[in-house]
Amino acid sequence: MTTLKKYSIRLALAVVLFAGLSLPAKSQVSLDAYYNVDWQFNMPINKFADKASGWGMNFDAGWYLTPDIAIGAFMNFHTNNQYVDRSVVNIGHETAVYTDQQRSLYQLPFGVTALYRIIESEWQPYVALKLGAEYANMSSYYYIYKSSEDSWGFYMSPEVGVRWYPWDNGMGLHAAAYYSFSTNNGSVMGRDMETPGNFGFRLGLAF
Amino acid sequence: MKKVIPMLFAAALLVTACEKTPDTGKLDDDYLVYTNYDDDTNFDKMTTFYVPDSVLIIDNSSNKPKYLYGTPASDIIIANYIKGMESAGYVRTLDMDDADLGLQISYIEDTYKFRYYNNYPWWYGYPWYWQFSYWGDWGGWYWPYNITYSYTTGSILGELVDLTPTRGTSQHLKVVWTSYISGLLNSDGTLNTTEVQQAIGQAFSQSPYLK
Repeated sequence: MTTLKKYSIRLALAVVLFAGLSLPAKSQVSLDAYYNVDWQFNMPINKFADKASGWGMNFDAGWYLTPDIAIGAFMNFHTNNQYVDRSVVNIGHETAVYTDQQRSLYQLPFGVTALYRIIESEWQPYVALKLGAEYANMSSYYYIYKSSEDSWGFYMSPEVGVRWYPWDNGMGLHAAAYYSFSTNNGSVMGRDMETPGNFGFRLGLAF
Repeated sequence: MKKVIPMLFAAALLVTACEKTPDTGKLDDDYLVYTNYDDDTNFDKMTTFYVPDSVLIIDNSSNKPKYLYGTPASDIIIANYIKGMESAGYVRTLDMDDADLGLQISYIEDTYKFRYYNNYPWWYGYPWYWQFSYWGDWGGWYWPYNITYSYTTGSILGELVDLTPTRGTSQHLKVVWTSYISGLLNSDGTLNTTEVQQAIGQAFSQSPYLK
């Protein structure tokens, strides 16, 4: 399944790349809009699963209200895991489990973006603020068992980035760095997760 | 191009919007020890315990209770539970009537009829489970905490029952401590006796409230 996902991601990126390169010549698909599809690298700040990973993607689309200011919508998802060595896990007051475990945190925020484009040219640096909701799933895999919990929270993420349109076919490149914060919380296998934060960056295609 | 972009988004999303499952191959594949206890029981006041000389076998085929008695496996299992109890400060008695605690031990050979139940009575469905009447004149079981895991083949279940209250058909026998140990089988299906010893010892070491 992991291999299938890996190849699926590569296939998706290849399709996007091929479609982009075969488009008619144009510096940007629409001067009034932006789109990007990104691979995402995320470094979580929480006590549940804190190992950085590249298992995520980001999708953005927005429309310029003025030459500088845009509003849009976004959605991204990411998985971070952490192996926890064999230890006694106290669950509540009466239960204890001796095991090792693989903890996993899946985050899927979505919402609206407010964006300010600093320069309108081939290089288009910008600052943005994303606001929305986040669905999160905390899981712990141990022995043959899995414990998990879902949660919803408010999501906020400031972001800086740049879109670069070096070609005449309407496609460009996108890079961004972000911090994100959400109000999700939960507890799985005796470990709490409260208000997870994240640092990360995104690399992808811009249209 | 504007028509293509939404399709590209949708295609990329469809093939990638999956949670990346962690690599469970990194787990050490060793045993698991799960313990529960009744917080209202004062284990300090208990001094003696009684343990039957047999281990109940939980399987699918029997039409009557089956026990392990006098086998190397049952001897190791019982001996290590006794060792744990004595290390915790309890004194073994050979007379059930003198015991404050009773220790019943089961070996789960098959889970067809014995999987899991989240609430009392969690053993319902397996007719040959330990009978409360074995421990005297009791009117039923009382389980003060929930069991929230499923059982696996090759597991050991050790339970302490409180024999100190006044008995009677209106009284329920309370299970005050549970140790569930799983992952003890060798690749050929036999019990790994080294891990049995380690795991039973672990069950007691993670239960400091016992004495």
